[in-house]
Amino acid sequence: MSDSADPLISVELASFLEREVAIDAASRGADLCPSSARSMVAVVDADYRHVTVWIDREKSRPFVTDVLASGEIAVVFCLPESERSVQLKGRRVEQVETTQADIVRAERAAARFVDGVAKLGHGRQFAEAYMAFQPQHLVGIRFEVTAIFEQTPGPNAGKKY
Amino acid sequence: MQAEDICIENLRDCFEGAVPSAIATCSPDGTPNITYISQVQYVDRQHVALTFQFFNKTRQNILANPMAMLTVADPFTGSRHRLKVRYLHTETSGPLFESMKAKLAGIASHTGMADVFRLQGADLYRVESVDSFISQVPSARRNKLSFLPKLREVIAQLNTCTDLNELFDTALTLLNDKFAISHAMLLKLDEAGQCLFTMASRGYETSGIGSEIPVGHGVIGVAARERTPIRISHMTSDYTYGKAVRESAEALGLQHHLETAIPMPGLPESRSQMAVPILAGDSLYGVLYVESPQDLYFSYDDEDALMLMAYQLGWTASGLTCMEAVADTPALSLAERVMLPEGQRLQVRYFMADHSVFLNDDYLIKGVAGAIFWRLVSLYQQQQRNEFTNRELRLDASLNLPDLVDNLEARLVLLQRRLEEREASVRIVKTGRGRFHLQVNQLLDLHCQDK
Repeated sequence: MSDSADPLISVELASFLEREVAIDAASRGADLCPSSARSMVAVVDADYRHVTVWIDREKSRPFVTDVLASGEIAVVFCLPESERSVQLKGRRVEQVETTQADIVRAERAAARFVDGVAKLGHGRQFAEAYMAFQPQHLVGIRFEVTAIFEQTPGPNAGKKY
Repeated sequence: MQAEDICIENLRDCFEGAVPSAIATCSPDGTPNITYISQVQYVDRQHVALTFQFFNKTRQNILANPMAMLTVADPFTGSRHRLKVRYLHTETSGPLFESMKAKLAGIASHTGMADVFRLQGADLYRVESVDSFISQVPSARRNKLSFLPKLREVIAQLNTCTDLNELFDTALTLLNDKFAISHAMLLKLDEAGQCLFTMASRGYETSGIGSEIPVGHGVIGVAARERTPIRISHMTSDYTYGKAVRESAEALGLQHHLETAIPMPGLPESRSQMAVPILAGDSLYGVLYVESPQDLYFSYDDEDALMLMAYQLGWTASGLTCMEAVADTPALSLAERVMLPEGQRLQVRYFMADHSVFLNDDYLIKGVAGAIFWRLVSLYQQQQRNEFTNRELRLDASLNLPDLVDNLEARLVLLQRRLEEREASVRIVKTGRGRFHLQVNQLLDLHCQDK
């Protein structure tokens, strides 16, 4: 994507992606077999063209191997309270170092997610276990966003954003 | 776990729909796709099925490349499992399709989305491997102990019942005592096979005995039509069951055929529901319906247990009905009629148009049960009879009602319960197999109106 084109991510969408959303990422192996991983938090770069998702690599080894080898990634975001869902497609994937600030951000995001689903009636213990990760295993996967799709259930699901 | 060792039976709680699952697929050009889905159906130890409603990217991908990665989570413990699955084929008829369609229709019927949720197919997948990340949180699922010993007791007790009244009451008591299910109702299919009427209920402010639901509407009606269990574990919107049924019936112009004077029982905020068909061989006897104000109250194990219980109920009810029907009926001795004191008489009004009966100004019942009641009080007045047999009612041409063979006993139980509930001066008292006594404690005035 040339830098002169408008970034795909709007300010409003960036704000949504960084909310207390559920995040799952997918890639695939050379045999086109999909792999997937749970992400704790996402951060949109200041250029609104790149996104980094943090995952627990010990729980996602096939995904990390596949995404770094293939350079192909898809990430879905969903806000449980409204079911608003968006899928990002990306390329030019790279692994980034995790800082203490990233760990704190991931822990805060997980806590906000737990609060959000607890309000919807889910057990807090369930939600905490669902979002659990080991800080020392956190790895960042940064990619350039190439397409965005609406995935909220309804007539517009699957349409380009 | 790999290949032949795969068994996902212990993951059944993950397929309740309480936590969305994620499915990752890949197109032939290598572009991955991932989306959340609400319904993953457990099929057997090595297979799951997904609903096919729209031709979306996931579906395009699996038709070209059958491999997918499904992530599911246990709604109690938060444990996560990644299932590597292979798409096999799509079923558009048969038990799996009907079961998923019924569940979807049951959900849609309550959410007013019947036109939106339409199942085109059930996509069947084989599970090829499972990666699990087990949390240390204990499961809050109730009834974690084996269901088999409880079922054994339940079936043994149902088997000892000697009449329908006892059978229905015992079934509801056992649900409460053995399975901690305290809100339940038993409904019987009517003569025409078009609606279900409430025979017994437990755990509601009013019993609703005699209330009706059309076949095909709501969780109960769809379970009856498809003859398959429907379980909804996670209701997010408040609703009143009777209201939903009534609106649904009104939209189809069916409300005049329904019992409208008796409101359906039901929880004001039901969050877990299950309706299982009561079958006896090829015949549908009725539906057993249970509900709870708690989310995720009923599990796959509960569904298995209630299906087995319903089979026993169906066979026992059919057997008891046959025994009542063919019971020897020795010549009836006219019981001596008690002289009733003069005073205010009970006004019994009968409307032939819909066979409805009013006692003074209070509505009692209509339809088949109403016609039977009118016949009984007429014979009581005209022939001074108060002893009757089921058999003579079945053969009574004056009733001029559709095929009563299967339902006469159930209608009599319904009538008996309505009279008790209304504390009426006229009661039906069973005196033996296939026999009963009409107990009248007040002088009657009968009025029959053509319209």
